[in-house]
Amino acid sequence: MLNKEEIVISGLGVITPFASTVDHFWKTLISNLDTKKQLKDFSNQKVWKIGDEWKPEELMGKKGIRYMVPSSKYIMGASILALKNSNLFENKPEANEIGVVVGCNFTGMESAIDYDLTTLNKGPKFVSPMQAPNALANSPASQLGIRFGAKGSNTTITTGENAGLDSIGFALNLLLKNRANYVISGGVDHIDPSTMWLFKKSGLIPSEYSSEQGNIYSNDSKGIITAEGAGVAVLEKRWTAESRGVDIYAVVEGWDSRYAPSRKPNSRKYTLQKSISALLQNNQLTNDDIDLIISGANGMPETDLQEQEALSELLPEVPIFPIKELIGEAFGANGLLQLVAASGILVNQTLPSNTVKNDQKQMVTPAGLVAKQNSTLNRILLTSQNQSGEISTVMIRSN
Amino acid sequence: MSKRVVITGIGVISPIGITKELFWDNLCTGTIGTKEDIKAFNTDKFDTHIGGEVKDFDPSPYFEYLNPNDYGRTTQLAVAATKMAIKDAQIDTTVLSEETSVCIGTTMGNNSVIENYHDLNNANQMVKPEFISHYPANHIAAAISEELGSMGTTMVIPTACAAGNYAIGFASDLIKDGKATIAIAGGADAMSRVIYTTFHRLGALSDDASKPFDKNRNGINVSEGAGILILEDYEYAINRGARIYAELKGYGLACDAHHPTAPHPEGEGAIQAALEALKESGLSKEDISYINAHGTGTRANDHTESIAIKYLFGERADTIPVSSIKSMLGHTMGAASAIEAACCSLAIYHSVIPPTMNHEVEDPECVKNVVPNKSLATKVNYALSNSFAFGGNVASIILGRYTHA
Repeated sequence: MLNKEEIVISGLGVITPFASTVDHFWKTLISNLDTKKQLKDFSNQKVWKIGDEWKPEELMGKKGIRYMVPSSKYIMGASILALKNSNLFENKPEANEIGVVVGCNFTGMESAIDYDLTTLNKGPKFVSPMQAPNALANSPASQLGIRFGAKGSNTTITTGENAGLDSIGFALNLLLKNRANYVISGGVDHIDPSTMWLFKKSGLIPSEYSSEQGNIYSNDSKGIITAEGAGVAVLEKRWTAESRGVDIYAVVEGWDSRYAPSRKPNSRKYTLQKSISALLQNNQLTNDDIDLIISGANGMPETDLQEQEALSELLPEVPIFPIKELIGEAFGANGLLQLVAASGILVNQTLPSNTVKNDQKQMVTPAGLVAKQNSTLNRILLTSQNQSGEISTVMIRSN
Repeated sequence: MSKRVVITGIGVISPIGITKELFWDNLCTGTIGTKEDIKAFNTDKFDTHIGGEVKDFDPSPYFEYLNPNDYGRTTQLAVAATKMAIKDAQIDTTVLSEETSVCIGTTMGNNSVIENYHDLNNANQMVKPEFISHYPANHIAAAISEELGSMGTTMVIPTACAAGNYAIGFASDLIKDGKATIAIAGGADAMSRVIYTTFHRLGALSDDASKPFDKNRNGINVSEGAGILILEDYEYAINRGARIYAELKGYGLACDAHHPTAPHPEGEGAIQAALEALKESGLSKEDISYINAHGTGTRANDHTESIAIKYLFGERADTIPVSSIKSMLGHTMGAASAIEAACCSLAIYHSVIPPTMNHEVEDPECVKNVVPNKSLATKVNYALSNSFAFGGNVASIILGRYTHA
């Protein structure tokens, strides 16, 4: 018997460099586009950047977007798509029933730098008051709240690469504690000269582009392929979704988040394993119940290789879809893009062709590999690691 | 039955004191910590020059594993306040592991890293990449977990000036859900030229010490600080014989959904968050014996907060003590509500309500019983603490006197 209180996904939306509809996003993943040829030149790097072909005003009108930073436009666009998809855009619930959670990291950095340089070079009276909110990390979530009249909890999460999965975790908590009946759970980040400068200083990317960047599970990878975009999921309880008669993409079974102190040996590996085990235990599942892992591995050798070791020990038979090999590292957005991808795989019962066999000795892409042939894809594990030690996991299953 | 969450340790670093004891003493005696003496940056080009800085702060004694010079000042303040809170709670750090979570709120994160970079760059000085690489705000909580060796959820919630309460609320849920037995929760923000510029450009800075709820109030004072609470599962705290300052009864979240920088004119979010907090606490409005106001000292905030309090409490609005400690500390941004939660815990524990200082002329549009200029010795059973932020993010918490079950 279905649990009416379980949390389901009733709407999805994406704004990414390669797709601005969920269907197109799924097709992009499944067909495994030769992505690196389509990367754009930016700050001596090659990046996944949203171009002028995406017209935000077509989705959200012109009002207010002049002063929005790119992240606010992306998350707004993805949220409109997700709300329409869940039939909540036209049929709005009570304002206090709608919560917003956005995972993001660098959305205010360029504005803060601009404010500071203007203050130093010209004086504090020369900064634009219209840009004032943009320097704050909570601006994208707040603008969603204002645009949609969402008066429930409005929260921003900043946990690096994990911010998207943690947005889902925070949203689950809001729903399970009855703090909201519908949650717009989103993740976003954008690329600008400031973030590229930061990533270079932080050793995430080399000073000049290398074709060795973004090589997942490789000791020789030279760092990440930087990306931008937004992903959004509308989460609610099964009973509200069913009473509204909307399609359910998948069920979110749980979220777990931990920290791996660097001073403890093999900490990342063991912490990731504990996180996965906790999710399984909380749902009374075994390792065999996981059909696929959508990994957060991003081309940083230290974290990738510890994940590889953890997964090949704990879940040796489960295939892995290293999604960032295709879509790059979009920080706050990635957890939600993992969720959107997982929903598409469950709905379409089709694996992306760069899914790899989880075998420590052979982490090379065997194109077209199909997991558990002739069996149904029922449950997907999402993983994410942050360079500073945070580890998050989410489990979803088919409806 | 839901788990109970209690406060067993407090760490505060503020413009009126670097220890909990000094902070509390100065709070009760009405010490003003804001001064025309900002050291973090030059205020010559600004119309105002007042702010609240933490003077003579040395992070080194609080960093055992990490190099404090690799981290921004917000992280330094957060780590130091955490170590003070852990010591105050008499927790053996070797017990901190998977069941210890860290949730920290902030407004500007480590924006001082960017500002220091600009200053040093202008002076043709080099900046270490390690320092810049720790700019992202998630490093605030990560540094705490790294220093403590804790392995639970480690999260930064940057919901601006309501962030501390958001972090405390979420941390309490982790305990209630059995995901943590100990949670380090609070907020931190270093003095930031960017946020000073922001409030300056919006015309929201006072040119002298802020005067919350006063008829002649004219703005906030930007300040810095950190407030950290040790939240514990009640049973765990009792079993280890911990001192309990107060119990976290509940919290409520809401959004004004009105304007990026202005509060809702009818205090909608404030009312909703307080109602949610009361509901979760299982309390009625009549139970509240003290309100620690957001009370920034701007005309809009104090007026709309008063509207919300009057709506919620009716005739009692003018008799319940309502004080704003921002009159002494200034506005410590993401740290503010966490420091105010520390204040409420101590008010409950010591049965003293700190005053609203600089209060001269009553404003008929505001609440009246603002504990003007002198602390009030009275029993506090339940305290409501409000926090509001840009973007309409609102979080209220309720703390209560601890009673043995």
